[in-house]
Amino acid sequence: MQNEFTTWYEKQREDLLWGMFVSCLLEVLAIFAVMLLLTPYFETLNIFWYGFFFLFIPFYIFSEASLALAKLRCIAQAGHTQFSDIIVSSISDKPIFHQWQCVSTRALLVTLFAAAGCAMAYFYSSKTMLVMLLLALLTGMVIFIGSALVFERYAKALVAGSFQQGRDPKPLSESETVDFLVTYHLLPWLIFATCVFGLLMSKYYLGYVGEVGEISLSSLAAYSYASFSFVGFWCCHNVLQSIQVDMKLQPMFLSGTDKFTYSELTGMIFGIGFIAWLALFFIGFFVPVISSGIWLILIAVSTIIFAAIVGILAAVLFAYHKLQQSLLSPVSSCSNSYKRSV
Amino acid sequence: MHPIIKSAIGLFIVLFVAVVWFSNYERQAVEIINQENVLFGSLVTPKRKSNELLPVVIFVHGDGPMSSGSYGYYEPLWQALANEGVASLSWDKQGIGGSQGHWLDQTMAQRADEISAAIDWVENQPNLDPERIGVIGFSQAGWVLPKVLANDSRLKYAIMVSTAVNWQQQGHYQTLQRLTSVGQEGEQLRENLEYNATLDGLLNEQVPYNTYKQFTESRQPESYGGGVLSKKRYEFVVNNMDVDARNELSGVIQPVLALFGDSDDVVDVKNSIRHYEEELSGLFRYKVYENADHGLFKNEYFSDIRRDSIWFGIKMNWLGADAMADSFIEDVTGFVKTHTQLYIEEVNINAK
Repeated sequence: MQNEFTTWYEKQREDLLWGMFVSCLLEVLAIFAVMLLLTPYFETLNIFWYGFFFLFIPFYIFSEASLALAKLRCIAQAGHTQFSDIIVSSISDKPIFHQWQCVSTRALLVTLFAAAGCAMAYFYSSKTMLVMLLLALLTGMVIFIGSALVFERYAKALVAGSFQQGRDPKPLSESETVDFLVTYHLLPWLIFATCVFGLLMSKYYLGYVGEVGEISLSSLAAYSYASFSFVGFWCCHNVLQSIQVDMKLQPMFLSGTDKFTYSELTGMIFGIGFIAWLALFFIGFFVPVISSGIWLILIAVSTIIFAAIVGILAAVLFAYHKLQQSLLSPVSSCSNSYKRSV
Repeated sequence: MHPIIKSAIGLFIVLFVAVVWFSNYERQAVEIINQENVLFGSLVTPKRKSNELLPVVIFVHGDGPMSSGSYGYYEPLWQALANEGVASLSWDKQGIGGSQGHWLDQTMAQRADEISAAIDWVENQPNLDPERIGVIGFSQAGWVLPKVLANDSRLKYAIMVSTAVNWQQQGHYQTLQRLTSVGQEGEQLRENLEYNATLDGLLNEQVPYNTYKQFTESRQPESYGGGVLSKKRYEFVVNNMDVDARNELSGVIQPVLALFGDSDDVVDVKNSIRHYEEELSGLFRYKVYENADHGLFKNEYFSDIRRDSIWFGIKMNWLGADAMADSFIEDVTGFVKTHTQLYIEEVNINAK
């Protein structure tokens, strides 16, 4: 049984590491391209690039690691019955029960060290377009190495924790459920989205004002709505499956949320985004244009915070509805993905 | 450790070496204080270290929201100058990147003050030679450089790239080129030029922005093809349209090299050369490159690309020095070398 488990674990590890490698490289290149193409473009020495390195790299390392760990937790949750004879302590002495427990002070220091390395490479480079593209690849590699090391450090402990929870599920009360969802889903992604997307949006707004001198609030309303919808769906997509797995491993309770369909989820994110849109459009009648950097950053960051909260809330409601349904049907989407991956 | 992670570490080391290898010069972030604003800039220096003080070329931008490296346009020049042991200094225009203020709030005289502030800054740097400062300016800088050159003898020479002499004359020339390039002639051309003259009249009167906007929206012929200026841009034009470099040219005693492209549809090249020849007091040389446009880009690569498109920026950065007119880079470095060397010879003669 132990050999069978080892083979199973190595297979998951291999698949997840390759997935992380591809995702780090492609996503980092995409985000770097956005940074390069947003005014004031690539070669201006300014605070955004240092913000990019010191905020983006640590958060991205943790988010990549936690996404891979969440996938592993999903697979482990679906497969725990297959390894019911395995002693949990033989997998790991210190099991962990959630992927975001990978965030530790030591790991944070390592990620900051990696960020400082990339920032130094940027500082001493000539910042030509070729060099910036090389720096993008370098950043992608640093993020992969960092997230892979964090993943390796916590993967077995998370599998052990997931097996333990699967064998002995401990239901959470409503207040414990809310605490859990806020601590392990809302806060990490809220901080990540605010820092990374807030930085990109602020850069775009300030670059726009730098070019033409001001931005109309009606344009700002349109941009804010578009970014709200994107970040809302992005956050929802990132947390949904992970929340579903958590709800299976630790049955949760939320009162007054019996039904929440996919169309309601879509409508919620598209619909609530109109509040921000309308607010800015309304203010636009009184203050038609804006050129203050502080106000623009405030608008950008507020929009992202609002979007992240709505996106994650929608995911929670949808996951809870799915959980209620799954009580009637034993086959879950996660088990399907497990079947595909083994 | 998993082999994928080991391979990634290997790739990381290769990429790090590549970043260092392809960074052919050092580029430091600098801050220049000009009156109440801080200008955020780049000082480019050769990689090889030497105890000698470095001569400096100050770069002065043309029109538009320019960052210190002009989005990659200066890169081939910085590279060539660094290879010759010459430093380059440039800064983000106000409101761009890290610089305070806003470039559309500036007059040409205020832009000239920035250059004086940059010269003050150079004088306080331990590795730069305050006796060997030159300046290179592009397009709109033609209304900025003469002001500084005439009043500041610390500048030893100037290179002017595609520069004009009189703002309104240049505007008229550019409009005429734009209209004739789309095949306009006869009555239609006359009607559009009349509208343009009326518009210039309104701008000269400094009418309120809303009056200008209403006039443009109601009277602009469709075939004229111009849009409506934003309020900021309108104020910028109104505040600067009286500028005429002829007021300062006779006070310029430093050697000047003027460079133009024969396909320039923004500046009347012959007019600029004539005025420079007649009015500059110092040594003057010029060159007109064949098949090159206002930015001295080769027509063969850029004639059909919009200047504000991302594709233009990518192609310009990709081609590097090859994007520019043949021998443009060599002509600039040659002129800079000659005049920095002349200073050294002068010092040696004086010492003897």
